[in-house]
Amino acid sequence: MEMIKVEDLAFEYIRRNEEGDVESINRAIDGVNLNVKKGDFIAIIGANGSGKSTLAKHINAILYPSEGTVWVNGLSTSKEENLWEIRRSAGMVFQNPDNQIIASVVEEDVGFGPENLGIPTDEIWERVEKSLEAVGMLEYREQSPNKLSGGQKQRVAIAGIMAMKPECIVLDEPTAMLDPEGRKEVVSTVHWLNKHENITVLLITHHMDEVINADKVFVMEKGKIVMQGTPREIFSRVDDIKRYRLDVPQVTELAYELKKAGLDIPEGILSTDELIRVLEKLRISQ
Amino acid sequence: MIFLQIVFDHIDYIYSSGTSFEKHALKDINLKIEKGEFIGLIGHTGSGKSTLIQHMNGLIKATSGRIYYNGEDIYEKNYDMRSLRSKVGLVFQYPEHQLFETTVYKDVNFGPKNLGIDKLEADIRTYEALKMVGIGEDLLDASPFELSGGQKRRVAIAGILAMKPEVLVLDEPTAGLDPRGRDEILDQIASLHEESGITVILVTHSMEDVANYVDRILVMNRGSLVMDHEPREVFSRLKELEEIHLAAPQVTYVMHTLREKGFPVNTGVTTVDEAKNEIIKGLKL
Repeated sequence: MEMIKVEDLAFEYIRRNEEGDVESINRAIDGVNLNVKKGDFIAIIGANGSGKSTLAKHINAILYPSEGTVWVNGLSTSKEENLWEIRRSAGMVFQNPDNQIIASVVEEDVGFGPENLGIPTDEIWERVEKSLEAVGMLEYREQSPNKLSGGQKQRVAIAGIMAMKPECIVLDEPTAMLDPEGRKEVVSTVHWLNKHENITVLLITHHMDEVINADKVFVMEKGKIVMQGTPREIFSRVDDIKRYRLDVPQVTELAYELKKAGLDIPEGILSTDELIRVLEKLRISQ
Repeated sequence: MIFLQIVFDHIDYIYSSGTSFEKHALKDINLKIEKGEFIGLIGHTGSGKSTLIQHMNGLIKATSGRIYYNGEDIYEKNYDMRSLRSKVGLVFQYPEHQLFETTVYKDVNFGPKNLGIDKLEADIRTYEALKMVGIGEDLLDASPFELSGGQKRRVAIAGILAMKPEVLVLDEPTAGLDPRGRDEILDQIASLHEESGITVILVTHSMEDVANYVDRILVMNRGSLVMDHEPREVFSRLKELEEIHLAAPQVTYVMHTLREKGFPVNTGVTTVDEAKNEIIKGLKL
C-alpha cells in the first residue's frame, strides 16, 4: 500500500498587488509524480528554490495543490474533512529547533500533540514515555528544553510527532542548524524509527552524506523531479548531480577522482569502508 | 614584520554571575591574530564560539582580561567602540533575516549611510560591496525578498563589506544553502581575502569547509581554546577531536584507515585532491 501518492502535482505562488490583481505567478511545483511505499526511507535533494519544501508542505496539508492530487494514506489532502487525520498520520519536523518547542518541560511538549487530539490522560503519558524512549531522550523528560542541544531539541520535536502515532514523518532540513554530532543523532534516530517502528520517512537535506542509507533518492530542480533512484544510482552520476547545484559525499568524490585518474574503481562508492575494500583488492591484484 | 591585529590577553567571560544560571562561557582565552589571516573557528554547539567572536567587536565585554585591536586596549575609557564595530564586521547566522529595505541597493547602502559617511562615498562603497559578493547590477532594484537563499545571504554580507571592515567574521555563512551555493559563498570569501587582504574568521560546523579554505584552525571546547594549529595538524588529532564531539573530513578517515591496513600513505591529508595523490602514490609502491 502506498503511504504517499502524488499525481500531476502543480503549485503556484500567486502574488497580487493592492487592488488584488495578479502581479506574478511562480510555479514552484510543476508536474510532480511520486509514490512512496509504507516503510520506505525517502530522501529529497535539490538546490535552494527547487521546490522541495513546497512539496513537503503538501504532504502535511499545509499547502493544497493548484493542480493534481496528493494522497496521504489514501486520503486526498484537498478535502477539508481529511485534514486532521492527515496531519496526525504525517508529522512534520522543520529546520529551526527553537521554533518547534512550545512547553517549558520536555514531557509536556511531547504530550501537547496527543492532548490536542483528545487522547485520555493515562494514554498520553504512556505515549509520551514511549516516544521519548524511541528517540533516546527519556532521561531528559523533566528538563527544560532550553538546556538541550540542537540535536536533542530536534529529537524532542520528533518525539512530539511520534506521540501522535503517525505512519509517516516528513523532515525539512532538520539538521541544517546542527553541529556534526547533532546531525548524526537526528539522522540515526530517524533511521531507527524507520527500521523498528516502521515509520515512513521523507528526509529533505543539503547534506549528501545523510542520504546514502535511504531506500530511494529524488532530485528536484525547478519544481520537477529530474532524477530518482537508489543512492548508488544517483551518486554514480557525479556530473549530473553537480549540474543540479548538488554534490556527492566526499568519499564518493574521491573514488570518482581515482577512477578518472585510471584506477579500476566501480561507480557510486558511498562509504569509507567500501572504498577501503576496493583499494585493498587493487593492492592485492598488483 | 608581523602586524598583530587582534590580541586576547587572559579573557574570561562569566554570565549571570552569582545566580543559579552562572556560566563560565570563556576561560582564559589567549589569542593573537595577524592582519590578513584566514582562520577557521570550530567547536560543538555551546562551546563558546559565538561568545568569543562577539568579544572581537566589543558586543560583549569580558569579565576579566584585556583585548587589543591594532595595539590599542579596547576597554580603555576613551576607546572609540563605535569605530571598532565598523572595523570588525560581524556577519551573524542567517544574516538574510536582517534584510529589511525595499531594494537590494538601499539595504547595502544603509550601513555606510548610518556611519555618517557622505553620500557619494557611501554609494561607491555600496557598488563595490555588491560587486565583491557577485551580485550583478540587474539586481540592484530588486526586493531582497525576491532573491534566492544564496543571493540574499550575499546581499547581507555586502551590507557588512560596505562598511569597509578590516576584519570579517562570519558565523556559519553556509548553513541552509545548497552545495553549490555553499561553494560559491566560500569561493567569494576566499577571493575577497586574497584580493583585499582582509582578515577573515570563519565559524563553521563543516570540517570539509575549513579544511578546504583556511590556513589556521581554532578549536573551542567548553569555553576553552583547546587547539590552535594549521588544518593538517588539527585533523591529525582524530581521537582528541572526537572526544570533544568534532570530526575530521571524511577523506582524513580514509587515509587513517588505509595507513592502519599497511598502505604507505601520509595521513596528514584533508582534501580530496591531496587524498587522490597520496593514494595513487601509495598504490604504485
